[in-house]
Amino acid sequence: MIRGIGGQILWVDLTKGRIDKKPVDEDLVEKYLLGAGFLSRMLFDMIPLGIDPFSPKNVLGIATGLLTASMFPQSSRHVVAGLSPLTEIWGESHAAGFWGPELKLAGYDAIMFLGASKDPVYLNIENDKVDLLDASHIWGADVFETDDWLREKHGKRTRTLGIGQAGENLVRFAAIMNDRDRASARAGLGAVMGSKNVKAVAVRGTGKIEVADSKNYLKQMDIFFDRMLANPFTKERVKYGTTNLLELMNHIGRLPTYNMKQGVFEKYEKISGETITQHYLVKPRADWNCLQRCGRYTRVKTGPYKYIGGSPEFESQSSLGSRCGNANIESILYTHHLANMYGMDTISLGATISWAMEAWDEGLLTGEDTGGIDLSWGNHETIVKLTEMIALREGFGNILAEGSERAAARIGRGTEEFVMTVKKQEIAGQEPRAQKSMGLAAVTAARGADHLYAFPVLDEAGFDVEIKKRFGNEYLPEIADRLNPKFKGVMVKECEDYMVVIESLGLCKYGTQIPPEFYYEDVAAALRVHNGLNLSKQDLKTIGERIVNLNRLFNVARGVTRKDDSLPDRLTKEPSPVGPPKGQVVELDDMLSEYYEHRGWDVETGIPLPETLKCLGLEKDWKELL
Amino acid sequence: MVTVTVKFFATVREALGTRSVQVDASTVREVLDRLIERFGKDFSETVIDQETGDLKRFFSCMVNGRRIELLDRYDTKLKEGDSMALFPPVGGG
Ligand code: SF4
Repeated sequence: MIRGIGGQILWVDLTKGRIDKKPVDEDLVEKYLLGAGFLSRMLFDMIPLGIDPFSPKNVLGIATGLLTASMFPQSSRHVVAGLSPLTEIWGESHAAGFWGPELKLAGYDAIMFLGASKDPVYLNIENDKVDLLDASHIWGADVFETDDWLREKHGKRTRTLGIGQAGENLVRFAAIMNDRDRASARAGLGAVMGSKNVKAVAVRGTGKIEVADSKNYLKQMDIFFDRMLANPFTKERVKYGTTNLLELMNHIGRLPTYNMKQGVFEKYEKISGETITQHYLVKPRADWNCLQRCGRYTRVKTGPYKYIGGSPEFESQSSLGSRCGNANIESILYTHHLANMYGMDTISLGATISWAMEAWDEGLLTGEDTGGIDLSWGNHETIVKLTEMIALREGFGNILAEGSERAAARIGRGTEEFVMTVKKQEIAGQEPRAQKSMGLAAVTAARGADHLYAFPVLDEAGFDVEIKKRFGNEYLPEIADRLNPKFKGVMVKECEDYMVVIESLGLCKYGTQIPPEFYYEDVAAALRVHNGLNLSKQDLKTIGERIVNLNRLFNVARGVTRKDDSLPDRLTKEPSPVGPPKGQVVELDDMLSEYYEHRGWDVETGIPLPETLKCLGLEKDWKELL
Repeated sequence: MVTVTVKFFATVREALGTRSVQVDASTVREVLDRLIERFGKDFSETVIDQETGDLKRFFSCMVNGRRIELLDRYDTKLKEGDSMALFPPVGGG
């Protein structure tokens, strides 16, 4: 029997208003773990081909990992998944916080939302008691108001997850928020929740989690704690969170600037981690059992951007800042706060606005399109205004709420050239001409442009020792050189396999990938003492590969092939104009072929080969698709 | 010998109380030696691994945005006007 889990799955049929509890299928866990792997398997089987993401036939799954709520450092996470309204392929997003652990303590590992409710509802979980309740009076409320109301009604210790107005209004990059300012932001799954008329999930869990080997559990976790505390990253991360990445990224020319025209922002110091830490930081904040504490609270004391709340991390800082040519730090802090309040992905938000700004700069968009709004680079008042208009789908905001690729297709006139997406999702804050592995990772990720599916950060500032530990000597020194395309195929493949395992365990990538403190052996040890699962390093690697291949099949079934694994021409054809990557382009074709070879996928088509699927036990899935 | 600019970031900057300095040296190693002379313990205890004399684990040194590990490491020769940077552990996305 598997320990360390809630043990039950909640099946919520919204059309019928019916809730069922079913035990976790342990055979499935041995092949896919929980979290991302579990949802990959379930949704592959459940979501029909050819449906609209807003159809009641779409399924929204939310799951915790095998180690969520354990004492493993940073075991704070849950995952949401479904057919993405932004990419119309596999959609998956993750968040840290306390909501996931609370769900597990209530006795549940996942919630599967089926169908759609006629009227707005929320799911209330108080241990065994689970009810679908009327949400009509909080429909239209923002994320913070919703959290306030639910905690007022169900008790201050209730943890909430839900959508703001952006999700209700089907903004294609709407987030599912939890614990007020934690976001499952990418892939637009907040809009799927909105389409199902589900406003929130409130949870109160006071149960216990039984571990498999209580004698060795504390001993093992103690070792992990000490290692995490001793890691030199820990001190830095508590101090700056991820905000001081901005200085490093600007220095290596990897900071998206002016809609990814370049990787260096001349005013970077105005929006740097140091500026935030010195002038706006209230305090760092930790998620469940977190020693890294990258979260933080910030405050703008006076002026139009006055607020107190969650602080932007590097992605929001760059997308709402340098990417839009915006050096007004207070507006960045405030816009990030608004995005949390309305429930939107800050990456797609900033990237969509920066696309419009470049089109404006080129004279392809005018006041006639925007309703008189000035879209000059760095106009922070416009960024704030558009954030609200997108969430509420007002005026020009209604077009931008579709994401940059659909907006450009609608406007035309050559604005398509400035769209920085892969498979309709906006590329995150990694200018790939300055880090080739990130260019490859963006095209191979299952949910469209994404840095986190592989999160190949080992070549970023150069962790040669860790690269040697993970990959051996064979690929050094090229693999550690971010400007060299060589061996990035194997790097991205291996990182993806490991990262999907981590997302299936509910662990944070901080600690497992950067810093690269814990690897397969460590999580295998944790699974032994916590869950009673005896999985070897090789078993876990195979599970990772199985999940990635299943995600790929989900997309192949929806028409994805090699031609879709592509970057905008700017990044593969136009040499980077300034800074250390000056003259560089992304040599995508070579890297992609190398990646497919390591994956056992057809190099021409990018489709998994039958023998690869057979080794992973997925041959039946492929045959069913044919 | 040439003159190079060395920029400090985050906790390194904090420990030294300055954003950047100019140093006369020919190699990366010489720059580090000059900085030890100039800043004493504030520099060596923050940045240098006392056992190896090299940078501490996860600290990063770059010359014109290129990591020294991909150049000639500590023997990397410097040119007039080169820009060096010293980062404490930082990375991610
Ligand atoms: S490192 Fe950051 S994201 Fe990860 S668990 Fe800690 S606070 Fe949360």
